[in-house]
Amino acid sequence: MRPLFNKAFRDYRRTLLSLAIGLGAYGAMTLLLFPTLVEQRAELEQLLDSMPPQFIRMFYQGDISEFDFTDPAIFYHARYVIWVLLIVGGMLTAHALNTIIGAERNNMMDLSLSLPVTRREFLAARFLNVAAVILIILAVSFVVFAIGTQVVDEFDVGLGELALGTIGGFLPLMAQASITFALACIARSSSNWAGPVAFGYFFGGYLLMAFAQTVDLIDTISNVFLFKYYDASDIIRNGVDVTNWLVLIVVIVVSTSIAFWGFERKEIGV
Amino acid sequence: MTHTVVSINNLTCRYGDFTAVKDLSFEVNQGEIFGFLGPNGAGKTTTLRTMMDFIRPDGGSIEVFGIDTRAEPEAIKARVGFLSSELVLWENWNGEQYIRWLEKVRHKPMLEEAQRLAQLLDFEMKRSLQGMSTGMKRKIGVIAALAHKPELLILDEPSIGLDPLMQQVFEELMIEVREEGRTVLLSSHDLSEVEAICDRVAIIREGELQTVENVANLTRLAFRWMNLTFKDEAAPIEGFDRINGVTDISTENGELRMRVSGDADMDTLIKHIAQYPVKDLQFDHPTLEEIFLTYYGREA
Repeated sequence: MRPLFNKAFRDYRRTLLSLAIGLGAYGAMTLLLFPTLVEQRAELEQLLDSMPPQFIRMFYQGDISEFDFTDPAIFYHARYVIWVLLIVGGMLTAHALNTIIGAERNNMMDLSLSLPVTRREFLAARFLNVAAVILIILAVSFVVFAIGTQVVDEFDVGLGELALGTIGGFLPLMAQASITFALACIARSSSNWAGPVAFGYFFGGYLLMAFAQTVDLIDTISNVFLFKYYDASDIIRNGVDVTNWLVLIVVIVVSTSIAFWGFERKEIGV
Repeated sequence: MTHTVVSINNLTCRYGDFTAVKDLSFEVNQGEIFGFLGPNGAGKTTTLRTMMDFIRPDGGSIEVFGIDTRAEPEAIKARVGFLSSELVLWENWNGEQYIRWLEKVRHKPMLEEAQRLAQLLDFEMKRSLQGMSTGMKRKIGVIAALAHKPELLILDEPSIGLDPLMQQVFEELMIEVREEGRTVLLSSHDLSEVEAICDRVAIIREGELQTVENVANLTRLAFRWMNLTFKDEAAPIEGFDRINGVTDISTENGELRMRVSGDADMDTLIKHIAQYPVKDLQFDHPTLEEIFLTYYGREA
């Protein structure tokens, strides 16, 4: 399986490098903004008070009564982590679809599966590659903001809490990738529903979460979206919510099992 | 004793309501080059993809080396070299990198043999695969399929894109494989190639097997062209055209030419010819292409 993993990782390394540099640079720039925000706290609070809560909810999906942009944990989640989730989650969704359905459509999968490797090994190498990509992105994010805690005095977050809050992002990203793999593995390559469902679930979930606290129906529905179960600011301030992590772990286990079950039975290229 | 390498038993494959392969059965023996013929959509690629466990049969089974393709596909693939009809390569590598990676997956040394094959096929192993022509990609596909010295080669339209010179090299390579006691199963549209190198062929039409036959027998038994030259003027077409199994009668430069099917009424034909002073009689065997078209009910 190692050559398959190495191949998958090698193929993604340029994208990964660009992503790591881009998000690292974005993180650094965001950090540089933070002292200014703290300095202008009074004006900012006045501005936020004048805004409808629904508008603020578009940018912050935690408890709005606790919203304080100058709180380092909330700033970290609202200004950085949520964008990492959206960008990396979107890219991994596309990557998972391309790894299965894309490879079937362009006959690339024939090349891999004509070799003496099991389907389980093939898919496991892809899962491991995605996990490695997520961990590397989160590690870069942690390093950037860990340096930030030393350089920017106002960004006062403990390294342990920062690490826990950042690594917590692994679960929703891996869950989204696993769900996409599951959809791609049970869908026929000639059908076109897996992509829209995977992207719709992810980005639609984010948008619906923005209205969750203001519309009761959406609040109920929001329980099925991944964004509900991860808030880096909450982890940094209050520690890990074990229930949230368990929900995400169950989603990963179930969707990964469906992916392996579906791929084992898949008619390649049909 | 002949050893069976591939055994296809009542194979049926469906795509929804469409049946791509119907109740197909044939065997491929060790040390032979077996041609699998049929037009687009006949079911050739479906059969080969089922053999590689890419798709699963709706009925019947395939055994390769006595192993069911559903039971242990990896054990089979370790002993098989496969070339897809629509070969796509990882373009961020060169040929040598690709072969080195295959060595790691197959746990077999391949590079030395790959370099020998590359020399024969005039392929530069250190050249990037990116931007290569179809023919060049085909060459590395052939090299990758052959370089681990598989016991069985499954090749789907292997010579697409190869120039005539390289086609000849490819045919020589296939003969070399056969001489080493290894087996080749290839699907092809190139009937001259099949005729040149195959020992036996299976002809498939709309998913159903039409015949499995030794190439030499096929060209001998299917039908013949009879050419008659008479001492005086050519015999009239009338009379011949009423004989059962005699068709396509024509005259040119005093020669009478007709197509005589394997089940023609030879007794009546010979008696009819005997009415005229015959100077010469010759039989031409049909080409494989003419036979192939016969199975498809078209004018050869």
